[in-house]
Amino acid sequence: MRYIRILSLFFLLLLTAPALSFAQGTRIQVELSDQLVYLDEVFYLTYSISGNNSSGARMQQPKLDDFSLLGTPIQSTGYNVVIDNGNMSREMITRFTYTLRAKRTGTFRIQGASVRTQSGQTVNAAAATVTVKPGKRSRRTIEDEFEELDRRQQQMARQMRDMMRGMDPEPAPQRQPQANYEDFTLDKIDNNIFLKAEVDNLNPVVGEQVNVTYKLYTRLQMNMRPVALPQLNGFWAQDQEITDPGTPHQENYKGKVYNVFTLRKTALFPQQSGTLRLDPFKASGWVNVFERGNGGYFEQKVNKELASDVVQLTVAPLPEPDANFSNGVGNFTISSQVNQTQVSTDEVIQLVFTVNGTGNLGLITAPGISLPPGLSAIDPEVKDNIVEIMPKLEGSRQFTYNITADTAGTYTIPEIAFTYFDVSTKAYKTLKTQAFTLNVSQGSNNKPSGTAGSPSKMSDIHPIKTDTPGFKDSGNYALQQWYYWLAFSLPLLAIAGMLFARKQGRNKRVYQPAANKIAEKRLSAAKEALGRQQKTLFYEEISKAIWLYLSDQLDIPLSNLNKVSVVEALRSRSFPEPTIQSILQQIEDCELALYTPSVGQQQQQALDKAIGLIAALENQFNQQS
Amino acid sequence: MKKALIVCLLLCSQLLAFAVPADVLNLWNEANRAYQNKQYEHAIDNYKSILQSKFSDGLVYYNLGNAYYKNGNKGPALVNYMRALKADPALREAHENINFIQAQPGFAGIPYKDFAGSSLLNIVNPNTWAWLTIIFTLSICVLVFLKTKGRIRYANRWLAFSTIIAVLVFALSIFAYQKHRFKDTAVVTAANGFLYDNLKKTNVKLNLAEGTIVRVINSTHSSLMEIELGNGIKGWIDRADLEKI
Repeated sequence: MRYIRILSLFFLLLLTAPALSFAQGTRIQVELSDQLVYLDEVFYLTYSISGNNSSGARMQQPKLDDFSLLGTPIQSTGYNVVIDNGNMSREMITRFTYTLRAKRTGTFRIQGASVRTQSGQTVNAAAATVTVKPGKRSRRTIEDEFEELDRRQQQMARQMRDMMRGMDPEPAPQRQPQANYEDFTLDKIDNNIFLKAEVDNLNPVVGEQVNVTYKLYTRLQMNMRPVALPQLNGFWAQDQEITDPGTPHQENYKGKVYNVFTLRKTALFPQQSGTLRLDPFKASGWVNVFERGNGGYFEQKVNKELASDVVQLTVAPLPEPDANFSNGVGNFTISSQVNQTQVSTDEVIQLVFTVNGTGNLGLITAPGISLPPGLSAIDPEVKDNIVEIMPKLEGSRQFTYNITADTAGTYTIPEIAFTYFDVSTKAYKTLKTQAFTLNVSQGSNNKPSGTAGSPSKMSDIHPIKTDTPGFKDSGNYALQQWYYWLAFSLPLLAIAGMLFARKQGRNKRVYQPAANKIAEKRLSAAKEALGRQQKTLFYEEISKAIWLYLSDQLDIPLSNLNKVSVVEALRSRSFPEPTIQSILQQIEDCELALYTPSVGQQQQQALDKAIGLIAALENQFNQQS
Repeated sequence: MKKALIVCLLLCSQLLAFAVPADVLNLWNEANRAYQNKQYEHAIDNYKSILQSKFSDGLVYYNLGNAYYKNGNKGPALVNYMRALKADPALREAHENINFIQAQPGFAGIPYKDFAGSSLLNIVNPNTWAWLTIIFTLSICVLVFLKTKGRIRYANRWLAFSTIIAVLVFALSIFAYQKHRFKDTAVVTAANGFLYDNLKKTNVKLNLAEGTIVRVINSTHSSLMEIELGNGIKGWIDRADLEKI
């Protein structure tokens, strides 16, 4: 079954001849692979249904009583482009192919096939006549057919490969049945290789898109190169890139299958009305043909020049346009935008006007903007962005207006009107953008704002520097340098160290020297008095030093300073009781010494005692805090 | 004293570690000569050759920026001034040239206000901020020392004050550093770049003149980048129209 499917498709490709008429309705046509068949020979009956809705049509099978039907009919759908006498038709084609073998000899009319369209209409196919003769040709089974076809397919594939490489293919004498060589002789060369220009619309209006495709059709081995590209005068043209120029595709043309190379695809937009000519596309090279000689056909290489036919386009003029017609023909939408509405007179306002859609984008002219007095604009910058070329050119064209204001104030940029010719409705259409309101403030003498300070004083850039650089790879950032972080961490470490040391120092039980120093400092006046032998002053100084020290440390005002308040303060700071007692004892001793007449030795003792007392207290206070 | 000495020694050793080959110096001198003789394209070529070797320096970028500006290429000029600042933040002239170019009457790009102007960060360059941080940290150190010795009145007030200042200055130095790295900054180098609405490029929002400084938001797409302009407008632009710093 699978083989039959492949086989049938292959034959479908080879044998169908779509000599189609150009009516719009559904049509059905019948073809036979051969009018004359032998008994037991396999042949093919193909019905081609063409028309706008052929894919939805239902096929009514013909009467095939005198034939064996080998397998179910094969259905295939295609899209056919055929040009005949300059008329072009693009249609859906559905084909049903029956693989048949005659049961008996005679002449048979195969009829009864019809197609019912979606709208319920029945279209009958013409009858096909086939004559079946008794088996004269060597009896071929269907398996023989398969082998033959396999071989042909392989050969064709090889030939196509060779053609793509541009080298001479190996001679293939068994490529075609002997009888077919006569199709490939020199005098029939024009049927087997030719250039063709396909135009999808011969009667456009000015500005309407016409797609032209130049193709090389060949059934022969050949090597061709283009020698003259058509001049497309009177058109705005956009070439479509051909993705795979070296690879042919197969196309059925007048009943024969050709290898078709697409040479050029161009979207044309006529710029004037009247009859416009598309120049021929020319190519030259060599072609392999077959010539009759002694005892058969032999291959011969001949030089050949090809040219496509001249195509005449009848371009209809557009109706009388408005004053502000943009030359746009197609189907468009528009939009507009300003970059800022709050500006100063120093700044430039950008107004972007965009035309989007399908049509002759490249021919659209900039719309005129009627700016209010005080605003001025230079000619807009234009940028095109084409997304697609075929079948319809699609994209956008952008106009950028740079607008400046001379004086401060509120301005309105009016709406922009855009008129184009709508191809589908055959009428002019006008679109409008919104209006914009601008608030313009006074700037400073024609320079962009935000540039106060030194730059405005500069008349030019600073000169270059000529001292030899250090050529250091890395950046000069202090934050990136390790020495910065070293310099940063050292003071931090020092601070941490000092705070730590201070804490440690406070925790030490006895820190005699420091405490003694403080005490000696406080008693320095007493010492001086001792040195000068001023006895009264000496004791007064000692007493004053002790009381002042206590007053300082315990925060007791001098007016309220007495033993009771000192003891209370000491207790409230939770000094241990023995310490308080010894402090009291020492204070009393010092007082005693103060009021007891004494000699120099006792004075020295009193001083030492006072120093001891203050030092002891200092230590106590340090421990506490 | 000792640590200052160490820092000095290490600085010197860093400078000495780079022996600059003669041909790079020749390129440098030739480029400067060409610039002074107004042969700007030749100067550009020579500065670029230096940068193509492994030797680069803020001054080379700065001079290259000058040569580009004199040659009429505002976009590459701005790119190179910023690269100069990236390499050497103390290059005041590069900073001023950027502002000067943006202030020219013929400059059609949108001024990048973040960069110009007299914001706090721009008072001094990032390195000065960084070293100021050290100075304030040192002052804290001295204050702590004086306090432990009991030789200062209102020690705590002074300490609090100088700590706040030091932290502030440190933060400023970090911000200034970040700003001078120009991580997501780019400049339009095409004569006329187009800012698209979206990735499909269907609608052009704006035309961006050469030299417009932009911030890159998204650079994951293969051919387009999302950017933000100085005035806050966002959009997509062709990669080829931009040059990142």
